[in-house]
Amino acid sequence: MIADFPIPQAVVAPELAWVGLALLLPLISAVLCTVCAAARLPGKLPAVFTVLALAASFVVILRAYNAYSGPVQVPIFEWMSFAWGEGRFQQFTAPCALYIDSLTLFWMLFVTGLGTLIALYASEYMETEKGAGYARFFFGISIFLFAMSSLVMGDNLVMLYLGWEGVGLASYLLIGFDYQRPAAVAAAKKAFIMNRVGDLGLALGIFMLWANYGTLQYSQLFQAMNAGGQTGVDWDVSLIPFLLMLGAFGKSAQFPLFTWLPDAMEGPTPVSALIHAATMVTAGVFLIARMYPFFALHPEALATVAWIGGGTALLAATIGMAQYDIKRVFAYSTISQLGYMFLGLGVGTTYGACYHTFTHAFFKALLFLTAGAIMHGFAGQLDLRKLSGLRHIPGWRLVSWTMFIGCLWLAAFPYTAAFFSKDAILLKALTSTRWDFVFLGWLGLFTAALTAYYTFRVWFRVCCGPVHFEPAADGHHGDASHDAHGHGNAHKAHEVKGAHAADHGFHPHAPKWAISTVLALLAIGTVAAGFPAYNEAFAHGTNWAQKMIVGSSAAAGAQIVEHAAQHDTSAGDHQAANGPSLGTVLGMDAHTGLLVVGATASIGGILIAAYLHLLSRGSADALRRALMGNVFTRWLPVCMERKWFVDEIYHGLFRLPLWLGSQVLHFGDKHFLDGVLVDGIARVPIAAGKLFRPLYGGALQGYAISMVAGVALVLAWMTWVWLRGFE
Amino acid sequence: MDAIGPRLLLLAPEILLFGAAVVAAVLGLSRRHSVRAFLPVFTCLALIASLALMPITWTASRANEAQLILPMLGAFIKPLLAAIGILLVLVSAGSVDRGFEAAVARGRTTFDPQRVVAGEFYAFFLFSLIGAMLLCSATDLIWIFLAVELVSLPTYIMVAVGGSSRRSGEAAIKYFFLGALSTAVFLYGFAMIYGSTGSLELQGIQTALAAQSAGSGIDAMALAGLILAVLGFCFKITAVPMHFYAPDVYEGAPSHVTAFLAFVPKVAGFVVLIVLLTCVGWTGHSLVDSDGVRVPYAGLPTPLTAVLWMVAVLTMTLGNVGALLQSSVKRMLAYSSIAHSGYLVIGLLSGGAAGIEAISFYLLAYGVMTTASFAVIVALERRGEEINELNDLAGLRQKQPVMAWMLAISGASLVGLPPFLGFFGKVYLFVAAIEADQFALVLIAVLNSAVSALYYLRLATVPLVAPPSARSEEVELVPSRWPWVAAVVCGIGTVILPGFLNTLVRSSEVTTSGADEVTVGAPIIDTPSASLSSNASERP
Amino acid sequence: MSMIWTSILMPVIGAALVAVSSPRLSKWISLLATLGSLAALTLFAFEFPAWNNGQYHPTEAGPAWLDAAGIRLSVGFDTVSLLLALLTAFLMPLCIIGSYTAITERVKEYYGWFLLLGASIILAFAARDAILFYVGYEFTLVPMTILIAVYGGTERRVAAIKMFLYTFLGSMFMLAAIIYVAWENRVSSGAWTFDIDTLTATAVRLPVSTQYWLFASLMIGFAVKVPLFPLHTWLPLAHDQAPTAGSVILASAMLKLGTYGNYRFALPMAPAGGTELMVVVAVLSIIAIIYASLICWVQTDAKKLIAYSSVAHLGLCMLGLFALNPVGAEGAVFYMVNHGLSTGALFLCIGMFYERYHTKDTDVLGGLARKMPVWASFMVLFTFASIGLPGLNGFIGEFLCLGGTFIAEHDGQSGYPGVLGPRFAVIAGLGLIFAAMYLLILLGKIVWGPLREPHHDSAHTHAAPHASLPTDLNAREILVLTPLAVACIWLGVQPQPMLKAIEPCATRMLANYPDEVRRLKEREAQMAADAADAPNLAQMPQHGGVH
Repeated sequence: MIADFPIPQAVVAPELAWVGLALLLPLISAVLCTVCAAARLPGKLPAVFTVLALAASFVVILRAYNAYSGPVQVPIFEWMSFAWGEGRFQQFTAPCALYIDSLTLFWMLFVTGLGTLIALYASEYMETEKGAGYARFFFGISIFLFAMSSLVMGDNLVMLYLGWEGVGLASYLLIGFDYQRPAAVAAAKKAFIMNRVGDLGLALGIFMLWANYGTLQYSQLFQAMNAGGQTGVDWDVSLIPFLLMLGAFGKSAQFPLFTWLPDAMEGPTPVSALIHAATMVTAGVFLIARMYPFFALHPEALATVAWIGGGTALLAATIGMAQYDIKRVFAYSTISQLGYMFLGLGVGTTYGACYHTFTHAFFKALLFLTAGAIMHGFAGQLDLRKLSGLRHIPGWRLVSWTMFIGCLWLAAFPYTAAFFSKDAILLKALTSTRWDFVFLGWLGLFTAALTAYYTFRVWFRVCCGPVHFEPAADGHHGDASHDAHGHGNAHKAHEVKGAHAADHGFHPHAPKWAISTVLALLAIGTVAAGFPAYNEAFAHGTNWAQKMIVGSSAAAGAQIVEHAAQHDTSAGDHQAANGPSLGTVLGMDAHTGLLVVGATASIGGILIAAYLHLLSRGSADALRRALMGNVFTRWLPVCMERKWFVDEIYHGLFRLPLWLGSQVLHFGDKHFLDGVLVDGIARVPIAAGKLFRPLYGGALQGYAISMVAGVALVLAWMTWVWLRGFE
Repeated sequence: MDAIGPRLLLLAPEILLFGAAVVAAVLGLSRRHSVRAFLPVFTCLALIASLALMPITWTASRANEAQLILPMLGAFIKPLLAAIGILLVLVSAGSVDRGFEAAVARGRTTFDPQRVVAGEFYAFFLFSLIGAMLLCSATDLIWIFLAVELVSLPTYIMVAVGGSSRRSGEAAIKYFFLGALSTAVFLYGFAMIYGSTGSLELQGIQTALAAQSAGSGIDAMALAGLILAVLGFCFKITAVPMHFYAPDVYEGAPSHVTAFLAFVPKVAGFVVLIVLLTCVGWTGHSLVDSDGVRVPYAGLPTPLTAVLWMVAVLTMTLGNVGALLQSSVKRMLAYSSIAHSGYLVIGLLSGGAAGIEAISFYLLAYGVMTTASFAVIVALERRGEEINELNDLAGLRQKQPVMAWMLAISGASLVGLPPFLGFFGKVYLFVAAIEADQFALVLIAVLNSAVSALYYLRLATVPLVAPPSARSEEVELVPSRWPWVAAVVCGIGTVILPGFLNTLVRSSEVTTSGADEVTVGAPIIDTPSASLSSNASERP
Repeated sequence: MSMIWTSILMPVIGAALVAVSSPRLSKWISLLATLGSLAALTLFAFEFPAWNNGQYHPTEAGPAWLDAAGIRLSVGFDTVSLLLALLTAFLMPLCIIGSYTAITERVKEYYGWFLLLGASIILAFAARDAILFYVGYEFTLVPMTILIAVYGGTERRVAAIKMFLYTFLGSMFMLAAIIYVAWENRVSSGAWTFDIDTLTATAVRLPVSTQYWLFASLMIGFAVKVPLFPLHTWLPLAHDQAPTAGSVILASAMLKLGTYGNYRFALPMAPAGGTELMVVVAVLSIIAIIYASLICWVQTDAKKLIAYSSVAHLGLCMLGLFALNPVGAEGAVFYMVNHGLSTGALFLCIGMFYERYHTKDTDVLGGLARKMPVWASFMVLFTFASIGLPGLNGFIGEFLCLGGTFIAEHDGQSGYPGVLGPRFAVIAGLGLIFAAMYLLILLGKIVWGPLREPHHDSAHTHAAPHASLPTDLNAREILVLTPLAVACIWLGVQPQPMLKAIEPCATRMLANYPDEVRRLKEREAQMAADAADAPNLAQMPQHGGVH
C-alpha cells in the first residue's frame, strides 16, 4: 500500500555542496562573535556579523529554492561512518550531508528569514549589553541558526539529532543569558533537562530505526518504505513513531513536557520570538512531518499525536486566559498553536500542520517582538494590568497596530492567513471518519474561541483604553541584574529619567529604526504569509505551501493515511461515492460550514474580550471574584492561574522521590558500602590478628607449651589418619 | 668414604672461614683499638675470599663424587650465604661493644679483655655461616644435625652478647630453650627415620623410601619421622607451629643480630627441608635403583603434603595478620619474615626443579630486601637507643631522605610490587605452585599478599609521608656509616637486580642441575583438564 | 632504539634528572621530558603501519627478561592502545604546566613521581607481554599513592591507602589468572611465554568452566580499576584528595587501564566466560550509571561530583564494551579516549578555581562567570562535552555505546548477536538525562547565578601564596585548556579517522563472540523448553553463574 504513494527519491548531487554554506555561515559568525568577545571589540560588530551571515544564508536558501528541481542528497564529508561487513546491517553510516527537498526548503525559508529579521531587531534591543554580553548573545543566535539548519537540512537522523541537541544548547545559553538572575538560570536548566527527556525518546527511536532498517539516512529509509515497509524486522516496529513522538513533544512543548516553555520566557524577548515561538519549537512538527510515512504505518500513533495536540491546545489556552504577563500569555498561545499543528499531523493533514507552522512563525514572532518593544520602552513592564492605551502615546502607534495585526492573525480572524491554515487542520478533523477526530475538531474550534478571547484581552488591555503605565517594580533600580526581561532596558530608563526619578516621572522611550523596521517588515510578512491561501481561495490558483509539502515525504505519508481512510469508508459508507470528499460540517459544505463556525468562534471570542477588557474592565475582575467566591467554581480560576499545578505534580511525582532516593544512596554509599562493607573487609585481618594475640604472651613456658601442643596436634591427627589407614 | 679429597675440596670455603673465625676470636682480644676496629673488615675479607673460592672448588664432578642428593645446591646457596653475610657484617659493624669502645675511646675506662665480645661475636657469626654452608654438602642425618647445631648455637650467643640491653638477654634465653626444644623434635624424627629405613645416609634413605613407596607405601614410622623432622625445622624457618618465639626474639635481640636471624637460620632450615623432601621425592620424579630400573616416586605422601599445606597456609596467614597489629617495626618485620617463610613453604610443596629453584631465588630476593629494611633500622638511633617504634620513623625523609627511601623501597619489594625484586620472587613461586597444581595455595598466597600490603604500606609511607613527631625529631644516624652503606647497597639491589633477572634465575637453576636428571627432572605435565579441583586429593 | 621505548624512557630519564636538579629547573625538565615522549609517540603514530588491520606493531619479540618464565620486554601497539597511550602522553605536559603554581613544596619529588607515573601508564599500554603489562599497571600505584598521600587534601593518607589496597587486591587476582593462562599455554605448547597474543590464543581454547573463573578473576582486577559498581568507593575519595594533576591523570589515563584491560585481556581471553558473565557485568554497569548519577545530583563538592560522574560514564563505556557488537565496542573505545579528554579538562578547570578560592564546595562558591568569564566559557564547553552534546567528542562515544547496547539483542543481521537489548539501553539512557541534570546543576551553581565567594578573611589568608594568579585565567592556564578544547571540538566534528582506526581492533576483539553468544542462546532456548520463564533469563544477573 505504501508502494502506491512512493516517496520521491533523492538524487545525489555533490555539485550542490554550496548549499552547505547555510550551515557554515552561522558557524563562522559564531566564531567571529567569540573572537569579538575574546578581543573585547566594542560596538555592534557581533550583531553586524550575525545579521550579515544570516542574511547570506537566507540568500543561499533562496538560490537553493530557485535551483530546486526535486529531492537531492548533498554529501559534504564523512562524519560517523564505519562498516564491519558487506551486509546492510553491518555498517553504521552517518555522514555530514544535506537532504534537500521541498519540505526542507519550506522550513529553511522562514527559519533563516525570520532569523535575519530578529537578529536585526536584537541588534538594537540588546544594545545596552555592549561587549562580552552582546557578543555572547549573538554567538547564541548564530549557534542556534547553525543547529536549526542542520536539524532541518541534515541528511540523516544523527545530523538531525545533532541539530536537535544543538538548538537545545542555544536555547539553554540564551534563556540563561542574564545568568545573574537565578530565575533565568533555573529556567534554562529546566528547558534543557526536559528536552533531554524527549531527546532520549528520539535517540531510542533512532536506534530502533537502525535496528529495523539498517540505515539512518532519509533517502535509504524512504527507499525501504517504497520497497514496502520495514525490512528484516524482528521486533515491533510500531514503537518507532511513539519514540520519535516523545522527542517531538519535548522539543515542541506538548502535553507531558510543555512546562519548560513558559519559563523559557526568562530569556531576552528576541530569543523568545525566534527560538521559543517561531522556529525551534516547530522542530517537533518538522520531525513528524519528515518521518510521516513511519507514522502513517501506525494509525494509533497518529491518533495519539492528534489527542496530545488537541488536548495541549485546550490546556494551554485555558492557562493563557488567566495570565497577566504578556509574554507568558503569548508563550501559552504558542503551546496552544503548536497543539493545533500536532492535531493537524494527527488527523492527517501535513499541509495544514506545516502551513500553520509557517503562518504562526510570522505572527507569533511579530507579537513577541511588539511585546519586546513594549518591555524595552517601559522598563521591563509586562503586566497587562499596569499598561493601557499605548496607541494613544506618540511613537507607540506602530507597535500598537502591528500588535493588532498579530492579534488578529493569532485569533484566526476570518480571511487572515492563520484562519486558512487553522481551517485546513480543523476541516480535516471535522470531516474525518473517526469520531474522536471529529470531537477533537470541535474541541479545536472551542479552543479557537478561547484563543481569540485571550489574544484580544491583551490587545484591548494594553493598547486601548485610557493612557496609563508604570515601569516594572524593579525597573527603576537601574540594576542590570534585576530588570525583568530583555536585559538592560532599565539602563535606558535610567538615562531617560535619571537615577532617582519617581515612577510618575518615568518616560517610556519609543523604539528606534531597527525595531520599527523589523516590526513593519514582519507585519508585512505576516500578511504576505497568507497569499498561498488567498491565491487558492480567491484566485483559484495553486497553493504554494501545498506545492511545497507535496513532493516531500510528509505528503506521501498523508496520502497513505488518506488512502487508508477511504479504504475504511468505502465499505458501504455513503461518502465513498464521491471519492475523496470533504464531507460536511453542520450539514453545510465543509468549507462554508467551517467558515461560518470558525468566524463565529473567532469573532465571538474577540467580542467577549472587547466587553470584559475594553468596555467595562471592572466586570472582568467582578467575574473572577464571583468565580473565586463560589466554592464549586473557584477551582476554575485557581487551576487556570496556577497552570493546573502541572509543575507541582511533576515535582512531587518525579523530582522529589528521585532527590530523596539520591540522598539515601549518597548516605548508603558513604556509610554502608564504603563504611561497612569495604572498611569492614579491611578490618577482618586485623580482627584475626587480635584473635591470635594471646598466643604471643611473651612467657617462655607459654611458647614452649604452644609449640609442643602444635606438634602434638599434628601427631595426633597423623595417628588418627594412620589408624584409619592412609587413603 | 673412599675419596676424602674431593669432599675436603668441596669444604674448602668452610675450612677457610673456620680459620678466619679462630683468628677473629683472637684479634678481638687485642689491646690496640685499630686492630679491634679491623675485625669487621677482616670478617668481610674472609667472606670475600671464601666467595672467591666457591666457584673454583664446587664443581659438578666433585659434587657428584660426593654423592650429594642435590649436588649443586651449594653452588648457589653458599655464595648467597657468603654474599648476604658480607652485607650482614656491614650491618653489624660498629654495633658490637659500642658502649664499651666509646668509653675506652673517651678514656673513661681502660681496655679490659674480659669485657669485649667483638672477637667472639664475629667468630660466632662466621661459625653460624659455616654451619649453614656445611648443610649444602650434607650426606647423612648426623651431618645435618651437627651442621644445624653449628648454625644455631652461635646465634644464641650472638643474641646475648651482640647488644647491651637487658632485653637481649631475655631473648637469648627464650631462643636457646625453644631452640633446644625444636632440636629435640627433629632429632626424634631422625631417629624414627633411621628406625624405618635403617640408614643414616641420605641416599640410603632415599632408596629405602622409594622402595617402600613402590611397595606398600611409605610406612607410618618413616612418615612420623619425616613429619617430626619437618616440624622441628619449622623452628629454623620460623614457621607454624614453631614460630612463636620469633616476635619476642627478633624484637629483643639487637637489630643487627635480628637481621642475621631473619636470614641465615632460615636459609639453613630450607636447605635441610629441601634435602629431606628430595629424599622422599615429588610426584613425577623417579630414581634409578641399583639394577638401573626406574622407580617412580609416589610423590610426597598425603599426610606430609597435608602437614606442609597446613604449615604454609597457617604460617603466611598468621604472619601477615600478626604484623598488622604491630607498632614496633622490629616485631612487624619479625611477623613479615614468618609470612615469607609461609610463601617459601609453597615452594617446598610444589617441589621438583621448579620448586627448589623458586625457593632459592626467593631466598635471594628475601635476603636482599629484608637486610635492606633491617640495615635501615640499625643505621638509625634515637638518644643512643636503637629504633623500635615505627612511629619514631615518622617524617624520616626530612632528616634522612636516603634511609627513608630505602625503607620504602624494601617495603614495596617485600609486598611484591613490580618491578622490585620481591615481585619476581613471588611470580616465580606462583609459577612453580601452579605447575604443581597448587591453585588453592596460590589464591591464599594472593590474598595474603593483599593483606600484607596493609602493613608494608605503613612501613613505606610512615617515613615518607607522615609528619615528624617530637620523638622522631630526635632520630639520627649511628656513628658507624657501615649499616647505612649496607642499606643503600641492598636498596639499590632491590631496584636494579630485576634488570639481571636472567642471570640470577640461571644461577638459581644451578641448584637442581648436575643432579642425575631423573632425581629432580622437570615435572611430568598433565593435561589441560587439570583445573582448580585436580589437587583436591592432596588437601586434608 | 625504538620510538616506543623512547617515549617510555624519556620521562624516566627526566625523573632521574629532576632528582638531581633544582626545584625551579625540575618544572622545565619534566615539561621537556613529557613533550619528548609525546613527540616520540607522535612520530611513531605517523609511521604506524597498522592503522587499519587491528594488529600489533611492531610484532617481533623483545629482549628476554626472564627466560625461565618466558617474560620478554616486548612492546608494541595496536590502534586502541596507541590511541590511549597518545592520550596519556598528550595529557602529561598539560598536567605538568597545570601544576606550576599549585605545587609549592616538595616540588622535585612531585615532578619526579609524576614523570614515573606517566611512563608506567604508557608502558602498560605499550606492553605486549602480560607480565610487562602488569609491571606498568601495578607500578602506577606507587607514584599515584605518593602523589595523593603527600600532595593531597586533609584525608589524603586514608585516600591513598584505600586506593592502593583496593587496586592491589584486585590486581593480585588478575596476576594469578594471567599466570594460570601462561601455565595452560605451557602445558599445550611446552614453553613458558607471556606474550599476550599467544596467551589469548591458548585461553580461548579452555573449557567453559575454566574460562568462567578466568574471566571472573581477570574481571575482579579490572573492575576495581574501572571502577565498576560496587567496587568504586575508592575513586571519589582518591579524586577528592588528589592534587589536580593527579586527578586528571587518574581519571583520564589510570581508569582507562581498567577498561583497556577488559578490552585486551578479559574479553578476548575468555569469550565463553565473558558470554556467561556478560549480563552480570552489564547489570552492574547500569547500576553504576544510575547510582552514580543520582549521587552526583546531591554532591556539593565539585571534584567528588566529577569523580562520581566518571563512575557513571565509565559504566556506560563498559556497557558498550559488553554489548559485544562493533557499534558498542567502537563507542566504548572512542569513549575511553574522550572521557579522558573532557573529564581531565573538567578537573583542570576545577583545580583552577580551587587554586584561587581554596574551596570546591559549590554551596559557598558560585557565579564565577561574572569574575572569570574566560574560565567560565571553557568550563561550559567541557561540561557540555561531558554531557555528550553532539558536535563535541563525548557524544560519539555515548551514542554508539547506547546504540550498541540497544541493538545487541538484534541477532543475525549485524553478525554480532548479543543479549543486552533495548531494556538495558532504555535504563542506561536515563543516565543521559541524569548527566544533563547534575552537570547543569553544577554549572548553575558554580558558573551562573549571582557571585558567591567564600569569606574574605579565609580566602585572603589562603590566597596569599597565589597572589600571582589573576582573577581570571592567565596565559599559562589558557594554554593548558586550549589544546583540550580544540581536541574536544575536533574529535566531535571529525571522529571518522579514529572510528575507522578502532573498527578492526573492535572486530578482532569480538572475533569469538558471535559463536559463543549463539551457543548461549541455544542453551537458553533449551532451558526455555524446560522452564517457562525463558524471556526473563536474560534479565537475571545470576543466570550467568548457573553454568
